[in-house]
This record gives sequence, C-alpha cells and structure tokens, in this order.
Amino acid sequence: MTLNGENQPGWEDLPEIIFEEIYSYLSPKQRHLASQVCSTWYAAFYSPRVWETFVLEKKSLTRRRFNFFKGIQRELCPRKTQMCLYQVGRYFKKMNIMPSIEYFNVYEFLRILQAFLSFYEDYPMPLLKTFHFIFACESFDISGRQIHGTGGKMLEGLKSLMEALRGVKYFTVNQLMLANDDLDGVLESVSKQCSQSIIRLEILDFSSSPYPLTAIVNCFENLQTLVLGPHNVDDEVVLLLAGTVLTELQLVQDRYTCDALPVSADAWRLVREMAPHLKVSLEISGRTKDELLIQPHAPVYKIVLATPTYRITDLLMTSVIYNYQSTLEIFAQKVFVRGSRAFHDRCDSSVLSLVRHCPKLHTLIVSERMSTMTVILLAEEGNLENLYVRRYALIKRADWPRCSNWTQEFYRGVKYCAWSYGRTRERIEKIYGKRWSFLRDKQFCAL
Amino acid sequence: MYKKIVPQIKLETYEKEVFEIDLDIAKKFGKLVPVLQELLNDDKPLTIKTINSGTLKKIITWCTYHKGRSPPPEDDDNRMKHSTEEVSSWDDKFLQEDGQAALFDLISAAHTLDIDGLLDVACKVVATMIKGKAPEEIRKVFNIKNDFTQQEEDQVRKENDWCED
Repeated sequence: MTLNGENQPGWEDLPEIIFEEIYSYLSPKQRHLASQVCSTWYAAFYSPRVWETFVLEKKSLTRRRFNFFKGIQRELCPRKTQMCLYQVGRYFKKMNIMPSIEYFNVYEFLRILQAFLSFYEDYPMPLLKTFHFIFACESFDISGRQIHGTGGKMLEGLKSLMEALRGVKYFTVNQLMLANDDLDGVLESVSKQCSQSIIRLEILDFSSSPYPLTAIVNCFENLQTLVLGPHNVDDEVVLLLAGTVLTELQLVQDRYTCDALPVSADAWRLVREMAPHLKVSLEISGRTKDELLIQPHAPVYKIVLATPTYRITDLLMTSVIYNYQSTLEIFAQKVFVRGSRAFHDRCDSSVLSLVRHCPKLHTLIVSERMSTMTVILLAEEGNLENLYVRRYALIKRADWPRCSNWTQEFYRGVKYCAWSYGRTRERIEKIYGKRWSFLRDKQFCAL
Repeated sequence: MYKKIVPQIKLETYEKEVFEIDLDIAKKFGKLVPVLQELLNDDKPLTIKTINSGTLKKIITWCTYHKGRSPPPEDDDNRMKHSTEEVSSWDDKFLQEDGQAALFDLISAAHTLDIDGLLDVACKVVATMIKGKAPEEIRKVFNIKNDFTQQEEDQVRKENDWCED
C-alpha cells in the first residue's frame, strides 16, 4: 500500500533538491520536455544546480541546414545560443567545449559567448569557475589523418573570448598545437582578467614544436597546479617556476606531443633546493609509441602510464628507481596492457624491486599480468598502503625462487597461499588488517 | 552459545508498526545517525509519520544489500559525466518492481532519512524513465495532473525552444 491517494503528495511535490538531481541527469532537450509537464516541473527547470555544467557538443544549439554539396548539415543557431546564454547562462559553473571538427560552429559559439560576456555592465556569468576548451587538432580526409593546430580566425576568436572571461579558477585549453609565430600573446589573453584567479592551468600540446613557455611565470600570480607537455618546459622555465607558489607540475605526454629533451639534472637539483614544496608528476597517455620521458632527478612523486601499448620494462623501472627512489609516492598503470605469461617476460621482478627501493611509495596500480605470489610479496614489503591489481590479469603461480633472506617457513607460507586466489586474498587482508580484494575490470576502470 | 548483541534502533511508521533496525544498517542514514545513536538506549521508538511500513521494509532491504558495498568514489570527472548507465541491474529491478507510486514513496523516504546512495540511484532511475518521452507520456507514467492552461503550455514550450533539436 502507498500513501499516494487523492490528497496525498505526488510527483509534483518532490522537494526541489530531488528535482535538481533528476534534471541534472537529463540532456537539455529532455529537461525542456519535462518542464512542460506541470508548473512545479517547470519551476525546477530553472534551478541553478541543474545548469551547473554546460557542455558544448557536436549537436548542441544547432539547427539543420541543407547544403548543396554536403547534404543536410548541422549549423550552430545564433538565436538558440543567445537564448541559452540569456536564460540559464548565469548558472553555469563549468563550461566544457568539446573537440569538434565543425570548426565553424565552434568559432560561432566562441564569438557569441564573447559578445554575451562583454555586452552587460555586470558580468553575466559570475559563477563560472571552470573553463575547458579542447581543440580538435586531428581530422580525417581523403589524404588520411591530418593534424593541424589552431590559428587564424579560430585563434582570434578564442583569444578574445579568453580575454572576456573573468574569475575562472580552473582553466584548460588543450591541443591548440600552435605554430611558433602564433604563440605570442596567447597566454597573455588567458591571463588578461584571470591572472589572479587561476589556480590550475592545463595547456597540453600548446605548441606543435618545442617551445619553452617562460611567459607563464609573469602571467599568473596564484598558480598552484600546472599541466603541460614536456616540450614546453626547459631549464629556465622550471627554475622560474620554482620561484612561484606552484606546488604541482604535471608533465603529460600524449600522441600529439613532439619529441622533447628533458630538463637537465642540474636544473632539477636547483629546483629541489629552491622549492621543496614543488612536486612533479609524469604521465604518458593515449595511443603514442613514445617512451616516458625521464626527467633526471626531478622531484617526481607520481608516475602514470595510460598507454595501451606501453609495458613496464626493466629499463623503465631501473631509471625510475635510479632517479626518483627518494620521492616517488604513486605509480599507476591505468590502461589494460597485454603481456606474456612467462616469468622472464612479465613485469613481476621490476615491480617488486620498485616497491623495495622506493620507501615513500604508498600507492601502486598495475594492470599488467603478474602472479599471485608477486602480489603477496608486494604486500609483504609493508610500505604500500594501496595496492590495486586486476583479477583477470593475475595468474595463480608460485614462481619465485627462494630468496636468501627468507626463512624456509616464510617461503613455504607464501607459496602455499599463492596456489589459491582465496588464500592470496586472505593473506593480504591479514597483512593490511582491512578488507582487500582483486579488482574486476569494471572496478579497475573506475579507479 | 550466546547470541551476539547487535545494537538496534526502533522506528515507528505511519501505520504505527515498529521496526527494529541494526545500527550498522542505520549507519546509511546520513544526517540521522547522531539522532539515532542518542535514541539507542531508549525504549521508545522514533516515529516517522511520513514513511509507511512497505517503504521502510524496502529501505531496510536496500540498506542490507548495500551494507558491504561502499559507494563508488565521486570525483569531479564522475560528476561531469552524469550518466545514468551505471545503475546496477539489481537496483534497477528493485526500484521499478512496485510501480511509480512506490518509487515515489521510496524517494521521499530516502530524502527524509538522508540515504544518499539510495537517493542517487532512485533519481537516476527516474531520469531514465523520463528519457525519450513527450510531456503527455511523462504525465501518464507518473500520474501527474497538467495544471497549465493551453496558453501557458504554448508559452513554456516557446520559452526554451533553444533546447530542441
């Protein structure tokens, strides 16, 4: 039985906070349809929380238009865009402009948004704190894959929009792939009104060839996190950054990153002295064939491998241990990597030696194939607080020879546990004193 | 052998039925936990008039099922995606099996008892039910009366037609 009788509360009387939650799972089109249901549902349409995140996708705010050469096209509709900004723009907290090869639509949106922001005396998007723009620097045509940077009109539009933005804290402009001639003044546009407010700046693949971005230091006063490609830093840049309040420098390589030289060991040594609070993380992601660029003796605390073709090798681990053994805290392999089953081809021994040599390492994520015995040994090392391994990548094997400083009893115990997944889990739970389990692939992806 | 004593709290529903709930299940009741803990040694049950027995039974079932399962970590990326796909099939079936009226009671109760996890999945399920439906169909599914005049309805439709394709 339910309370839902004639005078009882029904779906039109839900608390506003629940409406907001439901609406936030719907697309703008579905929100619009739901707003026509009744007056309370209509009122919920205008709840600020519903519009916190605005995402410009390929089809957003477009209308169909027939083009003689290409058939029916989707073209950004200026009226719809203006209406959208006018009706709900004041609620936007996050704006996400997704990469789209419909460059004209993106350009139009940038232009209209810029006009909207500059039109009013009071800044019309006071809540906007996060701005993401990713340029679609890759397209396909008859001649195959094309990679090109922004420039010309698009860059002009983007620059004038960035100059109009105010009070943004988290700023991302990725994959601009600028030519060296265009680089002047872009960062200055970003910082025109936001030089005080930006605390996190992400500019991956900012330039298409190596170009040290010394201007960053003068543009932003309160920058705490900086994310960029290794080809945009050199000795001078890191030394200048060491003199700022920056606490985290993330160097990310992806498929568009061009070859770069590492910053010199001497410069990193100076950085460590000047800015003991500055931490560096290295990441390689996407389908790239490059190797992780090792920055000699940098204060690296985190390494992320997110490339499906990149396996953990002895060589990589040796240089990681050599360079970062006193600073490394997190090592994560995030993407599934296929590996062979034989012990000498697997990463077991190099992972174990990483854990042995880096006393500060507290989180280890490995997706590659390892044996149950290795996992037990990893946990036995004692310094790891978080150990994540994939259930489907584990093979049930006790394939380590006895090491001279293990007692016979210890060796037998480990071997015995390694012959069963259940006992492996129990043993690790006992070591950690808490619930622990291998991750299924879905859980692993959610990490 | 003696039985392990599990601390229990008592809740009284709309129908004046009293339920005894294990404290570790009641831990899911966000804001209510401190209140409940105070009542722990009391013999008098806490009366919640807005919740009926059927709903409370369902809530206990849900909390028991999810007892060992911690909610997935909610970071920025997760919130940004805002997808409704990640509702588990168990949750989906559990929430929909008794029709929309029961689902409504469940949402209100989850709101009263402040059970975040349940509220989240329930909202996702409702959102899935709304998806792809015209206003008239939504009214039918949720049994809602249209309180717009024809004129107002046209106005509402026009006001935000920028959302349309």
